[in-house]
Amino acid sequence: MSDALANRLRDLRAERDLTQAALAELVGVSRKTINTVENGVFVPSATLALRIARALSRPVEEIFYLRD
Amino acid sequence: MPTAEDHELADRLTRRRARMMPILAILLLAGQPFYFARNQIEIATPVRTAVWLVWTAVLLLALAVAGGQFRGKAVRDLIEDDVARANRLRAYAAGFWTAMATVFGIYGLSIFDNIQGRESLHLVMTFSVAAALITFGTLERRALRDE
Repeated sequence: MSDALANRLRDLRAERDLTQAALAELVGVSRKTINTVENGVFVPSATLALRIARALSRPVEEIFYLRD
Repeated sequence: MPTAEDHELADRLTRRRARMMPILAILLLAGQPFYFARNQIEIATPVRTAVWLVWTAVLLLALAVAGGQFRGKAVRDLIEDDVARANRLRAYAAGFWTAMATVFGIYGLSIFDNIQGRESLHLVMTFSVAAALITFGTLERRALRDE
């Protein structure tokens, strides 16, 4: 199992013209959480991933994917 | 849902905590020469020992509790987020491995020198708490950094 979780969070956030702080408010987490998820420092839980997807109105698999 | 003010306050408190942890660890380590002056545990007066014990317990508590204790649940939840919890677990692990390394070091040293039990406990506790604090502070600062 060497797959790493990658994401398109930065692009999707920019598309909606949201800052990290604004997205954090929508999701109900800290800006630090959004920052670490976005930068791949922190792998989000399934719950958090789904909450981010809901806030961005996108399917979760469109935001998070496995990098081979 | 937390308000924008809650987010702002939580961010500020998180940054302050991340800055303070390594400083507290350095203060703890910096106090050790006074405790081990003349390298004799006997000269450690009860007051000095009590100060070290209380100080170490306070630092352990600071590491273990979320922060923002008097700021309401919304702010507390933002401070004690998934990232903070994961970082704290890594800090505990760093403290554990530092404790093990210190034990090995003391064991090796005890072959050449007479090290008392209380002195050994003091060293293990000081180094492991300091390592945990430094690790937590470093990880939190890294998490806050924009890349």
